[in-house]
Amino acid sequence: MSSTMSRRGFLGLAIAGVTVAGLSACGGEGGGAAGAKKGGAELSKKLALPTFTAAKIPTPDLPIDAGQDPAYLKYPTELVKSVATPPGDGKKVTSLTQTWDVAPPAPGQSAYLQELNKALGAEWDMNIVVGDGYPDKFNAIIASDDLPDLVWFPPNQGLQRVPELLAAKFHDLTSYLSGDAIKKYPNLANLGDVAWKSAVTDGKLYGVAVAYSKFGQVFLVNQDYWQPVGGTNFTSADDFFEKTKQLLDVKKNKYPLEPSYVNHVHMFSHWYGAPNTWKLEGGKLTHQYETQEYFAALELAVKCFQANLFWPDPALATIKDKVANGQIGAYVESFPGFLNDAKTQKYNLGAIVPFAATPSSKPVYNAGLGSVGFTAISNKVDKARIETLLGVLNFMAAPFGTEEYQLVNFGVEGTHFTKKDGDLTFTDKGRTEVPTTQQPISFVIGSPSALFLPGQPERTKLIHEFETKVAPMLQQRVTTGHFSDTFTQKSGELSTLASDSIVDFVTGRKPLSEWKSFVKKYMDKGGAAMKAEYEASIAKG
Amino acid sequence: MVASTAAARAEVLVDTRPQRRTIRDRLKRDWTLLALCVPGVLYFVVFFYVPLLGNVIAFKDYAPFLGINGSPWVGLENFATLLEEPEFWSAVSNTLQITALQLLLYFPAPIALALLLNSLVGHRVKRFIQSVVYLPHFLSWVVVVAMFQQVIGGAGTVSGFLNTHGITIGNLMSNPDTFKLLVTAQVIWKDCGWGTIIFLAAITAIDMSHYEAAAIDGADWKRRLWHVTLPGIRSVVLMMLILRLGDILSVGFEQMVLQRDAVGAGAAEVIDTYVYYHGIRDGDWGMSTAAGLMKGLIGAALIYAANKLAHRFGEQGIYR
Amino acid sequence: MERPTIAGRTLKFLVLTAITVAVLYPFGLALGTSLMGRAESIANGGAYVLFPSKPTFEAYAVILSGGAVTRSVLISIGITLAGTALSLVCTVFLGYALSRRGMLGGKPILLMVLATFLFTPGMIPSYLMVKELGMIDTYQALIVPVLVNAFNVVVVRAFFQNLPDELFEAAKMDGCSEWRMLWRIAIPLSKAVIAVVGLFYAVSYWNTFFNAILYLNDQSMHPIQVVLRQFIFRGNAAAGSDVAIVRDLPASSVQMAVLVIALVPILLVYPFLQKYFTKGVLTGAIKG
Repeated sequence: MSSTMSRRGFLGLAIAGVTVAGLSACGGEGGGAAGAKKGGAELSKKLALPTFTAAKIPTPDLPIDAGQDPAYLKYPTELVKSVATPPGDGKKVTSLTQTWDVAPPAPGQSAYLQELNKALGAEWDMNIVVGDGYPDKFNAIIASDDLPDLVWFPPNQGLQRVPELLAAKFHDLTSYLSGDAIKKYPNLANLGDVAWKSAVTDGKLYGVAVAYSKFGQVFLVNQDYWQPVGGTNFTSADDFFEKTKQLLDVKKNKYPLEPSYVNHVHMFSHWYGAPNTWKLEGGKLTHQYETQEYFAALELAVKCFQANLFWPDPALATIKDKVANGQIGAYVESFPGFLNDAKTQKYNLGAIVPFAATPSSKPVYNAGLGSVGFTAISNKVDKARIETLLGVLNFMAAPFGTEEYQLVNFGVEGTHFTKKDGDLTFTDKGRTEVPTTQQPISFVIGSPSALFLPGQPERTKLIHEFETKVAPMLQQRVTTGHFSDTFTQKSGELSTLASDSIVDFVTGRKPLSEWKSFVKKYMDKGGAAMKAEYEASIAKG
Repeated sequence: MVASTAAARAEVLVDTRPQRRTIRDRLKRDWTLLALCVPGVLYFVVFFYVPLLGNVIAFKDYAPFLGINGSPWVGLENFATLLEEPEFWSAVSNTLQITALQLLLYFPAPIALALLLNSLVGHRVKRFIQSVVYLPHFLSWVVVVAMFQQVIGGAGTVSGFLNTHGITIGNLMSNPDTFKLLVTAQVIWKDCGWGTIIFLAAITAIDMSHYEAAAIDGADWKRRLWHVTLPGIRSVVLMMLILRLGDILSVGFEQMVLQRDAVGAGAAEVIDTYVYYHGIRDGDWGMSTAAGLMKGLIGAALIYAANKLAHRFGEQGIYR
Repeated sequence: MERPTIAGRTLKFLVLTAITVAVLYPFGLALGTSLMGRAESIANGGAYVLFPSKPTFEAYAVILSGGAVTRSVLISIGITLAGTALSLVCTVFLGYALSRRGMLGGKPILLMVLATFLFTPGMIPSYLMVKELGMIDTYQALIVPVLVNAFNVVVVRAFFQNLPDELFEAAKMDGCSEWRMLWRIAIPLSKAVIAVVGLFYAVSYWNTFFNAILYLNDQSMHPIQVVLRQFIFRGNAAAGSDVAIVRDLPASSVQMAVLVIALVPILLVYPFLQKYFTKGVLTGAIKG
C-alpha cells in the first residue's frame, strides 16, 4: 500500500547495517560536499585557509610526534579552560542535524542541556532528523525556506548545487574565518587544514568544518582467530593468503573474512601501494582503477573468494557477533568504528598494519576525509549575530582536555559522570542524557579526535600503536580541497557502478579479463571528466 | 439456478433505470451521493492533485532552493537519460520477469489458501490457522532475508548439515540464475497469508443460500467450489489482478537492495533500484520523477487494457 | 453436508500443518531471539534462536526504560484509532457513492481516484502543502495527508457493487434515502470488507514512519515505529556511520524485541476483526 513509506523506512536499516559500509568502502570518494556547477572550482584556490594554531591541551600520555591523535591513558587531572566567557547572547541557537541514536530527553527535562545552555549563554535548540531521513528533510526545509540558524551540510548524501544554494541562502563567512581572522576563535583555529579544506566552496568559506578522524578504514581482526598461524603480521600477500587459507574450516562454519568484498579490495590495495582514489604525477591524475596496484588487490580478492575465504552470505547484520564467536576472523571498519569496537567489544581486538604485498610494493594507508562536511549559517540570521554563533561553535569545538569538551561530551561531574582513579564513568542520568544529546551535536560541530577509552588504557595503547605504525604510510587524497562538478552530480552513480562491478569481479560473475572495459566505462561515464576538472583545479592551485 | 436468476434480474433492473434525465434532475436525485464524495475528493485534490503538479519537474532541472518555478526547463532530457542506458533496460527486463513470475506463482497463492481455509469444517482450527498465516507480513525484509539466509544460506542450517556430512551444494541465496524464483518464494512466504484476508472477505459476501441450494441439488464440494465459491469471488479476483497490473513495474525495492551483493546487480537490479542508485542518490529529482511518470503511464495503459478485456468477458472490471 | 474423503482430509491436514509451521517457526525465532542475552548472541554468532538457553528480558528492559517507547505507543494508538476511523468514514462514503450506478459524475470521480493509485506526488510538494496548512509538528500531519487510499476505495466499491441490487431497489420502493440505504443495507452487509479495509488502514497508521520524521520536528511526538527504529539503528549501526555509537545490546535480540513490541497490538486487535470475515453474512438476505 504505502510503498514510499516503507521504502524510506527500510533504507534506514540498510544504510545503518549494510549499505554505508559499502559506500564508505569506495574509499569515500568524497572531496567534501561542496562542488561547483558553474565553474566554482576555478575560484576555490585563491582563498587563505584559516591559520592553524594548536590549542592548548594537557600533555598527552603517549607521543604525538608522528601525527598520532593525542592519547590519554588516564583522564587529565588539570583541564584547560579554552573559552573565558559564555559566548551566547541569551537567545535560541537553532540547528538542523541528524542522529543514529535514540531520541534525547526533551530539553526541559535534560539537566545536561540546561547546563550546556548556561555555559553557552544561549539556548541550544536542535531539529534532529532520525538516521537516514536527513537528505529528504534537508531538501524539504530548503524548499520551504524555513531555515534554522545552523544547517549541517553532509558530504556524500546526494545534495546538489551546493555552491549556488550556499550563495543564495547562507552567509559568506570568509572574512570571519579566513587566514588570521580565525584567531578570534582559537578552538576553530585548532581544527586543522585537512578539515577546513572540505568547507571551501567557490573560493569562499561558507561554513565551519565538522572535524572527524583523519585516519581511514581499518582492517580489524579478532587476534585469537589468527593465533594458530602466529598472528597477523604478514610478510607478503602470498603469506596472507596461505595463512588465511589454513584458518578456513567450513565444517565448523569458520570463514576468515567478512563478506564485504569492496572493503577488502580497498584494504588489499594498501598492501600493493595503490593511490588514495587518485594519483598525482606531474600535474596529471590517474584513477586508482587505472593502476596495476589496484588490479593486483582485486586479483587477490578474487583468489580469496575462489578459496572460499569470505563468509558465504553477504549483507550480514551480525558480523561482530560472529567475530566475537570466532566464526569470522577479519572485518573492515571506519576509524571511529575501530574506536567504538575498542570501547565495546570484548574479543581480542587487533588491526592489520599494511605490509608490502610483493617485494617491490610500497605499502600505504589511506587517510580519511578529516571532516564530516560543514555547518553553514543561514542568511536569515542577522549579520550582527554571526560572531555570536561562531563563538558558540568555538565553544563546542573545544578539544579533549578542556573544560568545555568535558561538559559537551560527558556532562557535569557528579550529575552525569563520576571520576575515579583517572577514569570517567557515566551515571545512569549521564547515560540517558549525554550520548543521545551529544551525537546530534557532533554533526553540527566536532573537535579534533583524541584517544581516551575510560578504563581501557591497553586498548588506547593498541589504537595509538596502530596510528604510530600507519602514520608514515598515511596517504592523503590529492583532490581534497579541489572540486569537480561531475563528482557532485555523478558520484552516487559512479560509486554504484564501481561497487557493483567489483563485487561481480570478486565473486567471479565477471571474468577479470573484463576489468579493462569496466575501467573504460567508469572513465567514460564521468571518471575522465572528473579527472580533467580536478587537474584544472590543481593546476590553478 | 438461483445465481443466474439473480444476475438476470439485476440486469433487467439496471436497464429499467430512467435514462435521459437533465443534469438538474440528476443533481437533485444524487446530491446525497455527491455529498458523500466530498471528503474523499477534497482529500485527493489537496493532498494528491495539487502536489502532483510538482511532477512537472520531470521536465526540469530541479533544485529545491530554486523552487519549481525557478528551475530551468530541460525538455525531455530526464527521460532521455533514463531510456538511453542499456542498464535501465536490463532493469526493466528483470522487473518484468519477476512480475511475471509473481503473477504466475504468487498471485494465485492467497486465493488458493483462502479457499482452503474456507473449506475447513472445524471452526477452532479455522480460526487458529487464519490468525497465524498473516503474521509473516509484519516481518521487515531485513528479517525475512536474514531468516532465509539462516536456513538456506551458504552458511545456513541446511548447508551446514550437508557440509558436516561431506556434501557441498551451491549457495541458494547467491545464485543469480535462480534468484527470481527465490524472491518469488520469499514474497509468497511473507505475504500469502496476508493476501488471503481480502479473498476471505469476498467469500463471506457470497449468499449462503447459494450453497444451500447447491447442496440440495446434490453438488459435491468440487461442484460447490466451481459453481458457487469461484463465481462468487471472481469479480474481486479480477479487480485485484487488474490493480496488480497497474503496479507491474514496481517490485520489492527493499528485498532487492538487501540481496544485491549476493547475486550481483545484473540479477537484482529492478526499475526502482535503478532509479534509486542512478538518480535519487545523486539528488537527481528530475530523473526520478520522470521514471515515476513513465511507470504511472504504463500502469494506466495496462489497467485500461485489462479493464477493456474484462468487459469483453462480461465482467465489471474496476470501472465501466 | 457430507464429510470429505479420508485422503482428502489427510492431504489438507498435511498442507495446513506445513503452512502453520512455516509461519509460526519464524515467530518462534523472533520471540526466542528477543529473549537472548549478549553472551548467548556471541556464542552462536548472532544467529536467531528458538529457545534461548538463558532467557532474559534485557532487550525489552532497555527498550522500555526511559518511557520513550511507552509514550510513543500511546501516541501511535491514538493516531491509529483516530486515523482509521476518519479514513474508514471517508473511504466508505466515497466507495458507496461510486458503487451506485448512474451517479452524476461517477465515472470522472472514479477515474480521478484510480489515477492516484498510479502516480505519486513528490515529497517536497507534499511537505510544502502540509506546511502551508500549518500542520508541521501536529499529529494531524500523520493522518490527513494519507487519509484516503485509492486501493481501499476501489475494494470497498467493488464489494458494495456485488451486493444484490434487489435489496436497494426494494428499499428505494419503500422510500429509503441513499443515506439510509448506506447505513441500513450497504454497511451491515459489508462488515467483512470494512473490517479488512480498517485493518489495512490501521496497519499503515501503526507503521507510520517516514511522514513522522518529515513532518514532526519534535521528537517527543514521534510514533512507535520511529522510536523502535532508532533502537535498531543504535544496536546495529556504527559500521560506516560517522560517529561511534555505543553498541551495548545484542543486535539481533533488539531487532526481534522491536518486532515483537510492534506486533503485540496487531495480535490483540486481529481476533476482534476476524469474526467479521469467517462466516457469510448474506444468508437469506434477499428474502428479508
